[in-house]
Amino acid sequence: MTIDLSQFYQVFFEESQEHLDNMEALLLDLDLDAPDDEQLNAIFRAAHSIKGSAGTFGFTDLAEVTHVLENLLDRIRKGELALRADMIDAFLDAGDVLKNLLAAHRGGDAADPAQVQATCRRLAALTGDAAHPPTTASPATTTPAGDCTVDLSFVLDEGTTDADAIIENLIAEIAQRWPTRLASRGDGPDGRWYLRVDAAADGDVLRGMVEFVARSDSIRIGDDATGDDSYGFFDEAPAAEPKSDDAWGLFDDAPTASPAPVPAADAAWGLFEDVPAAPPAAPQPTLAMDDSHGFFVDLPTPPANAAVAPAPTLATDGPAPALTVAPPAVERRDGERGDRRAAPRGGATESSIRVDIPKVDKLINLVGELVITQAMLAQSASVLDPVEFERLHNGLAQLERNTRDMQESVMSIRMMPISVVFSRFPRVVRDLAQKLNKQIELKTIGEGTELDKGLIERIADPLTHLVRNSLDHGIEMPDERIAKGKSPVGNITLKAYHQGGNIVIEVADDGAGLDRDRILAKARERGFNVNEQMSDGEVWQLIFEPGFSTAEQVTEVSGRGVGMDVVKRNIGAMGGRVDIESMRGIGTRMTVRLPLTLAILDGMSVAAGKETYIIPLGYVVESLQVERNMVRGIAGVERLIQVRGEFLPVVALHEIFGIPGAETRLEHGIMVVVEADGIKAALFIDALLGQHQVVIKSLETNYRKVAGISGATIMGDGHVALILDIAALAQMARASLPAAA
Amino acid sequence: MMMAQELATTRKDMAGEGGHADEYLTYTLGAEEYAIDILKVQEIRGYEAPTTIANAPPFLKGVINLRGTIVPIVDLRIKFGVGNADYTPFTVVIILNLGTRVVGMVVDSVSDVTMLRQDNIRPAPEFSASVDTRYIKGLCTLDERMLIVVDIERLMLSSEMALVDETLA
Repeated sequence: MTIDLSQFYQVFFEESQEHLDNMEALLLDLDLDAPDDEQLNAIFRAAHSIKGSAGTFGFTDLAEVTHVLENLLDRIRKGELALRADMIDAFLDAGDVLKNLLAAHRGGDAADPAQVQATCRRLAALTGDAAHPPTTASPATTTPAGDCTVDLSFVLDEGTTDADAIIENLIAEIAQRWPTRLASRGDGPDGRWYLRVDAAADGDVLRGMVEFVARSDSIRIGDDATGDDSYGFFDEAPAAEPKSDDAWGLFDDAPTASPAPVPAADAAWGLFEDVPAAPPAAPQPTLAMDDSHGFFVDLPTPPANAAVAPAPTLATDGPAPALTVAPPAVERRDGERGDRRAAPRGGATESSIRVDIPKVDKLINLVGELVITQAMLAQSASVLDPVEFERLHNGLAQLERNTRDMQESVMSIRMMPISVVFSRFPRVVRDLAQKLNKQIELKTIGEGTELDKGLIERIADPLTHLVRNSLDHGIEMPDERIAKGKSPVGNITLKAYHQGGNIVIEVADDGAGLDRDRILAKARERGFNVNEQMSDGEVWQLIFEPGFSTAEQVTEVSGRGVGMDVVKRNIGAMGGRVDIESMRGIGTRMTVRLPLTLAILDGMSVAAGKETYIIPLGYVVESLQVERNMVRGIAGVERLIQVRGEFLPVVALHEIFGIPGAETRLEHGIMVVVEADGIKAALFIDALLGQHQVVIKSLETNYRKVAGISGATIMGDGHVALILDIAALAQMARASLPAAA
Repeated sequence: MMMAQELATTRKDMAGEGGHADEYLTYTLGAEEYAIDILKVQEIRGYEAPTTIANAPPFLKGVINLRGTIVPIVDLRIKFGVGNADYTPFTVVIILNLGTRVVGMVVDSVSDVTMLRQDNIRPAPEFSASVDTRYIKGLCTLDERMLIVVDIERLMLSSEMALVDETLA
């Protein structure tokens, strides 16, 4: 599975890079005084998309940073915080960090965790501590830490088995009120855990939350103000952010040093690294050097702080001597980092390039023209004497081969099976199901359905959102499912197929279904214009509104109400739409319909009168010539044919389309039996012409939708042939029957 | 096929000095001469038999393949009931580029590219031209001829021409 997934890393990198670039551009464009909601939403979506994909691919560091970033953005977006210049700076910095992380992953190298932590802290500070105008802080003054961060330490209850899950839940619970993160993990059953709450949290409330899982006598809440003050100077964060960072620079884990049941070495590392587990995992000398000296690098004014620095606990841990070597350390570290970075960057040469879709389209059109010109030349040359013009004929034969190859190559640029997208879901579902303690079985149907690469790229994100949504909100917990009499294993089905000139992708689950009342209540709460008389379909569409989420709890998975509006926007941008069918307790089916603007279709070309039409091959069951005795009339009109005991309604193309000069006697033409949406019909035409792969062109670009026609294509001779919308024609056949009877 | 731009470069001298002048392409429909903004014209080409579209109004001749793009062709002669709607090697189609849409229209003949000064275009009185006065910007006299200046974009994208889905129009 890992190997499978890694083939999509490149796509992820490219996508994320794009999102980051986009985010940066939007950030730079943002008007501080009157931020545009749309822009904020766009930035938020970019962060959200990166988070989602990063989570999917297991790049937790990326997901972590974007999660914090998203938290802050969300509050700004909802108007809870006012946008400030320093926030934009922090966002841009976070963007840079993300880019570095991306680059690190590209090169297969680990990213600098300290940098990640610093950024997270900075963002978290802005999220929690935004009430303070930034001007109150200056590099010379140290603000007490108490008002922006609370440390929390405890030992888990005896007999606790799944410590990680418990801590995760606890953090999620606290995070609903204040941004929280794990500062240090407890070691073993009696290990002490450290959490940091980046806001002026209420100690009693915190205690109440923690008491559920921890030994109550072990809980310690509060910030070590003196300690923080003195440590603050060693903050590795950029000097631009001294105020908030002073509070919890590098010494996040300072408490580890005092009561530590952790080995001495760990305690020492703990001071410099947020992850105490790092030293054993990173034995390289280069890293070690980073750890010991690194945090002095960004020291704003080392001499001034030197007096404060040798706090008693610190001195024993050795940073004081380190201070004296700080300048060389800076140099060495920079140099070393430069080297380390340079290698992966140089190594990650682009193995693919991203090209504007219009350029490819133009190429495809040009090749189409070339094919037509080639056909014309071949026809002109066919009357020439093959002996006399041997070289010309040889040349033309070569041209034909080359043109065909070229056409195939150009086409193949765009077409890909949807399995490219589908195959990343098993992992998404597995990971997510594990995280949510749900049991899920994923089925995929129609992976071979080809669609345009442009669509593939753009459908991946919305589909991921839909699948995650189904998993998170749709499928119930196993015990709940059993209580409802369902199998404890939930089903999610992904299905793709062509239908009437559309590509249809369904994401279906057999979960709880949407809750009409809750959606309506939520809509009212958010001030939407809703009423009880709205149809289910209309109510379901509400969940696509920006910021709309009925999830009771914001999780990493979903619940911010951003996913669905991204889904709708992305699909809308592709000219498609999303339909929702849902039944309480039975399940939900999201149907994404995309137009086949440039999808290729296997088609059968047929003649009616002087016109040529294309029948998508997927709908064709068989074709046959009827005998007089197979035709059955209804009310004197020959409306049915009997094929092997089955009565099929006849759809005479020339009647529906009013084609002059077409064959009207049923036994003289050809019947093509087609099936669409479970309806079978016999399409009456003059003759079969051949079978082609055709490129679907939209009629609607320059014209309008035509009933019974799903699109158009250009034939080898340069003429336009219309593609029949078999589903619509079959409907017409059914509709015409009772009328005729 | 004769590119409109070439036509344009051959006739630059029609406008008087001063005043704001634009270039217009003039064409005839029956006895009437019309002028349209040349910037809306993509190209002029000969008529080729289009692929007919079922149940379309008679003036919609069908769609053609214009270098890979499907372009609907409207015969204005049929639409406005003027001239003879026959197709000879000399029948011309003006391909219009209207914002995002490309539409072709069959006319009797293309006459000229000419400079018209904005202040020479007089508002049209209610009169019985083939084209509804809603789509007429004004009238202009040029060398004893009367030109009807048409807002071709408005005309072509109107619901009357049925070129655009009702929901979009």
